[in-house]
Amino acid sequence: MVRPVQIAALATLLMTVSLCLWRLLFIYTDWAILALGPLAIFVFTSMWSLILEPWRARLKLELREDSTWRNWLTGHIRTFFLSSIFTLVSVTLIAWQALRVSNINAAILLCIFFVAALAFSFGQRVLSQHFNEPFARLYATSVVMWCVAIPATVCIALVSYNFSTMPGEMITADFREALKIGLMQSSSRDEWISNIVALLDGYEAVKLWMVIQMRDYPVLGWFFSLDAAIFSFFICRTGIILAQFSDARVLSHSKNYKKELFGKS
Amino acid sequence: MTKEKPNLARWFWGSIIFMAGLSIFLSVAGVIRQSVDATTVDSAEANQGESGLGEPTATELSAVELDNLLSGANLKAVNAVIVQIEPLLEEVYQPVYLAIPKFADYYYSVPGQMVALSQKKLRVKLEETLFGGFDKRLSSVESKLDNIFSSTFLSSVEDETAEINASNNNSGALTKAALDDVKGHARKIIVADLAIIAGTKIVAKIIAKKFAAKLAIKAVAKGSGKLAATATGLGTGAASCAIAGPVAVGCAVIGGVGAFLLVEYGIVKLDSWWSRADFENDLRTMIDEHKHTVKLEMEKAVKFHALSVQDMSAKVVEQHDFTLRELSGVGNAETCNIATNLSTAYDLMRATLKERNSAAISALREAASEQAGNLSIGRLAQEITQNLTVAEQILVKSIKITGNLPMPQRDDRDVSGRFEINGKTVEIPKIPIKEGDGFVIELDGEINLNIKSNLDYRILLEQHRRIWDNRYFGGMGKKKISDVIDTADGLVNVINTTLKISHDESAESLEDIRLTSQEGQLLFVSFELHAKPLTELKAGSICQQD
Repeated sequence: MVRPVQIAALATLLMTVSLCLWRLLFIYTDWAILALGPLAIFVFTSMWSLILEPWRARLKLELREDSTWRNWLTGHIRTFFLSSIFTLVSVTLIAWQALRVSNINAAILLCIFFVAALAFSFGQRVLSQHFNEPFARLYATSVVMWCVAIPATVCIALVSYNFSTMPGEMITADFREALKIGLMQSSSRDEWISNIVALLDGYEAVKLWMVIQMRDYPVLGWFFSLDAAIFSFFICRTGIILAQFSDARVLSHSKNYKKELFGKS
Repeated sequence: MTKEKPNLARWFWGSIIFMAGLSIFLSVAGVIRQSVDATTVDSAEANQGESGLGEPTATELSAVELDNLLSGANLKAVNAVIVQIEPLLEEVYQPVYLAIPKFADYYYSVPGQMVALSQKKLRVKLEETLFGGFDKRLSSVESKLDNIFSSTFLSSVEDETAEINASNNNSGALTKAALDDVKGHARKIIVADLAIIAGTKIVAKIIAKKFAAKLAIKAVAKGSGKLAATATGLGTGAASCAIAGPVAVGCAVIGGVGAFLLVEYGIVKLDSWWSRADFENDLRTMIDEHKHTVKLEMEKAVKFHALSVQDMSAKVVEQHDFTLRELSGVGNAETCNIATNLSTAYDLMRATLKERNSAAISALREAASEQAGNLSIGRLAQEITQNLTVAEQILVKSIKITGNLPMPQRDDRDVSGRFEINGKTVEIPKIPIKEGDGFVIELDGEINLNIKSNLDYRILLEQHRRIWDNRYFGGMGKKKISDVIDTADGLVNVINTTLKISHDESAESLEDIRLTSQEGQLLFVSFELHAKPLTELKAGSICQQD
């Protein structure tokens, strides 16, 4: 019982510290991106094994022992590609959100992150009793992500819809002004990271502008909130990935725990 | 099973320790920089421009928070001003009170009594003596109140802003812009609104005129006595001077003037001895009343001013940040419906009296209160709630009574009396009536009633007979106002009703009349009811803006 909490706590600690440093440093320089380096590396490392191991297991079953293709179908390129994509997208989105969310929203997101990491440990324990590794881990990742992310999405959407404040000037702004307001929210530095962040802010402002223009249809406001909340899928998956990292690469692999986790095998 | 993965704990913990250390260092550096910056305002502002060190986060107040902040500041300013009105007015009136004995000295002198015969001259003297420099002093109070209001309002806003900044969260650009906007507007509207007080300045002339008129009446009364004394002096002088032969007329005139001055002096001294204290008290009471009126006017003006500030800040708040929930209220069908319903119900009440039954007013008031916090239609709702305070008031402007006295007591004699509505009295002047024709009494009045109350009315009549004792008659009736205005289109409604009067043989005055409505002579009474006009709504519907 203690170990899952340790795993989740370590994952949350890494995320919190990384984002705090990123947020603090970004005020001064775009080199703040270095603060996200360890996070990105750990996510990438964990994703690597999560993608590669099931692939190898499947290949072992599907490919003949004497096949000459075995040397070519290692899965490294596929794994690198998928891991890189996920790392890039999730870290970018999380970093962007870290810059714009209020303290309350940040606390909610970290709670969701912690719950996802914790739920993964328990989910993996249950699924390990029925599936072989690495499939148990793969399925646990998927199942827990959906189970946590769906209620989290609703929760974030509700908070966002009811409490997140938007700039009042947007109500009377035309498209250009809305874009300008969105761009003004981010740093005024003309550097590459700032420009990426500004681009995301601009995209968000345009979305909000459209919602305002079509305010006779309040359902669009809900879609806007839901769209923002879908980000919780990335939070949950990243939480699970970092939980796997903490489990496999940080905490010692005590035999007792393994017995407890995987039974007699 | 997969092979054991390399343990990266050292890298993991190393990263965490390094990042945590750097974060702590930056936070501490930020705090230190902020405290250093706080020592000089200029450097703090420069720091804001850099959007950098010392500003880890910027807090944007929500519209509701901003509204609360501004309302709180407004309330503080109103309270600060109201507390100061009394002491400031004391300063303004102090010279007026001090000048009372001086004016009394003048008044109780022979020249003073001469001047007192002319109301205009007396008023001028009164203004000179008591109200010299009054206008200037009152104007200075206005500017002082202006300053107190604006400084309290602005300092309260500044304090709140400083509090936000002190919590390590500088107010965001939008909040700052909104607060700057409010401050700019607040400075602009102050003088214009408090200028309403200037209207009270003419009261100085009014009080002088009023008091002078009162004194002039007394002076004329005394003058007739003096005239008689002078005439007597003239007669006595003429009799005494008869021996003077040809200059007897001149001697008589001198005697008369001498007698007049002697009498005048004597009367003035006597009058002073008898009534000077009362005179000064009367004057002091009138000045007290005047001061009280000015105080009330000033309080009213300050409250009116506060409403203007509130109105202005509401507009600023409307332009401030919003949530999507609030946005969905702006212009959507549901909110438009609510706004339309509120406006329609209000407009109906504005236009027709019959819509102003207490249930409808309560329902509208409740519906408006529910929407008071709504960002989209809150101002509309608040305006409706405020305007509805007079919706239940109704004014009886005229009363017409037609009929005759009971048959046995009819006579060609004058009749007078009084008509009472809910305890408020309208005097019926003495009118001649013909035995056969009866009477038509038309009365004007300004009697305020509430729609929820009953219309309790009674008539008391006195028949003035020449030889015999006067006869007394009484009767009463009752109507529920809400029942009788049900069909009233427009804001004026005439209620026709009846009452019965009977002769009270035992009554010896109007106060003695015992009222019965069971039997007697039927009288027709009609009341002209005027509903208080409701102000047109200033806050337009958000649906119309689209």
